[in-house]
Amino acid sequence: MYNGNLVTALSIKSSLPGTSLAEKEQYKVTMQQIVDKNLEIAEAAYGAESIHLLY
Amino acid sequence: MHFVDFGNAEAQLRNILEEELNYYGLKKADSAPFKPATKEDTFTPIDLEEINIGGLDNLEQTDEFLYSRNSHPIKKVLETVLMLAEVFAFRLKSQEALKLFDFVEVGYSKLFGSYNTIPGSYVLQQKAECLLKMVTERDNTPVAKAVEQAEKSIKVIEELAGKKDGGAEVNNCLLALRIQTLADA
Repeated sequence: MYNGNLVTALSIKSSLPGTSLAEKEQYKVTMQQIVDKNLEIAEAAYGAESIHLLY
Repeated sequence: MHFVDFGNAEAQLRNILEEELNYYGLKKADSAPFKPATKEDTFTPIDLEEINIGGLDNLEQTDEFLYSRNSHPIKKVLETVLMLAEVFAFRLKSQEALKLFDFVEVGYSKLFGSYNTIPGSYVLQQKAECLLKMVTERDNTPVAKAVEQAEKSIKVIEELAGKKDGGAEVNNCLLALRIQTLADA
């Protein structure tokens, strides 16, 4: 996935000891936005039942 | 590209690179052959100084490849170097991998006349992945660099796809996604 590495990187960043709660919350929102966007793209192109084609 | 035996893949790719450079005349004179890696050998870095990509500097003046840059011989060489970089990244030879990724990134930008291309975006993704592999408990600084590279890559893809929230460009974006996925495969 073209934005998969960003999700992984933000996930790692969230788990680092020095990351503040506010930053963690921000990363969580960003990751959720990415996932939502990917689902939206997949649904628009293949239909809700064919999302697995992308993953 | 998936290799079953990465040690063997590295040796094969070194040989392929050697043959491509000789065949296309892209190797600088008096340079020694790339030494194939064996289990007994210590790691031999790829000497990028031996690869002559000077022809890309005056690409605008040569009609032959001006409108068909994908068929330029250096494209094949860059793809081989890119695969080698991926093998190095997998084998955690991260610094060497990043060196090769940078070389390919610059090569693609010269070849296509811009950093904002799908191959360029792919290299950025691979750099991000490589940086993520470098993260350890003692040193997590590569994460920030990985985020930077991944965001740049996404920006390139979405610019190329003409992204607008909720717009009709979604199929173009999906096409870019599929190309990226195919490239990963």
